[in-house]
Amino acid sequence: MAKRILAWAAGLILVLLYLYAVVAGIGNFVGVVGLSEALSTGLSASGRVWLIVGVAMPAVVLVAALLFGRRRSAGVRILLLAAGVALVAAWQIDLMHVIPESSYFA
Amino acid sequence: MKQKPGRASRASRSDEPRESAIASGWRVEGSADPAASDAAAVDPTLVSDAPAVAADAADGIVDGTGREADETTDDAATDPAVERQQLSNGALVALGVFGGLYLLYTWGWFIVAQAYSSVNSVTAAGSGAIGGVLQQIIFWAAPLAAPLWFFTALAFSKGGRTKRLTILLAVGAILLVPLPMLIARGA
Repeated sequence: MAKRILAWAAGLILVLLYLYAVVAGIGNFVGVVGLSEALSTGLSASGRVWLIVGVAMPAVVLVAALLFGRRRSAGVRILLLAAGVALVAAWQIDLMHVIPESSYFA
Repeated sequence: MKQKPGRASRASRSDEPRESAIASGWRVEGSADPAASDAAAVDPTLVSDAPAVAADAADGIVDGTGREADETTDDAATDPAVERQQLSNGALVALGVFGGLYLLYTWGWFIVAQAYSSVNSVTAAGSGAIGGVLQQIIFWAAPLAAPLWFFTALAFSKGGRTKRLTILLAVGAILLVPLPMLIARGA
């Protein structure tokens, strides 16, 4: 029983990290849109795409991790969720590094 | 080679054709190792038609006397418990090659995360109390991506599914390339 509670707690904390990543992506979107209006340039098409990718990517990875973890043991599912969080983290740094900030503005 | 007195005649009879037949195979290694010929009970030349002794040979396989012995005791060494414990050659190669690559990736992502840590702490500072902690956790999860993927791939290919292991590790090696180490910022 204690093991079950522990597994659920670990799983929920990991899902919370995914949700935070989505919320942070939305915040990023709103912030960059505000910035582009302040600069009176508007968003570029590619910038819009990358901002949407930033919002959708954690959600997609979470769904994939939950799907692949079906009918697996609790340990494997937690491992899968953790690997997904780490993957999201790595891709966020990729996005931040590779896409220049100036390209977000038209 | 020493023979047990009781089976000397049979063994020597069966020994003669083997000397010529398997000259290019494991025989070279067997004669190069004097200890193996001393341990006549475990010697693979004697066990192919004796199941009781074959069990000894199978034990010898476990402690690393080699795959050659496995091949010579073809029908005798099919103890399923022993077979299941062994990693296949392909799995060993995949684990070795990709293990080294994933270690490099881990190091690379750690360097990248370290370089961006000051940028990230500015982001975390503007995310509130809980958001700041979560931001830091997510950010520093990046160096763990490679090892976590590695162990997930291992967990998903239990039971000698070498092909699946190789595919999973190859996919991870593509998805987890530490781009900031290879591409200049904003290029």
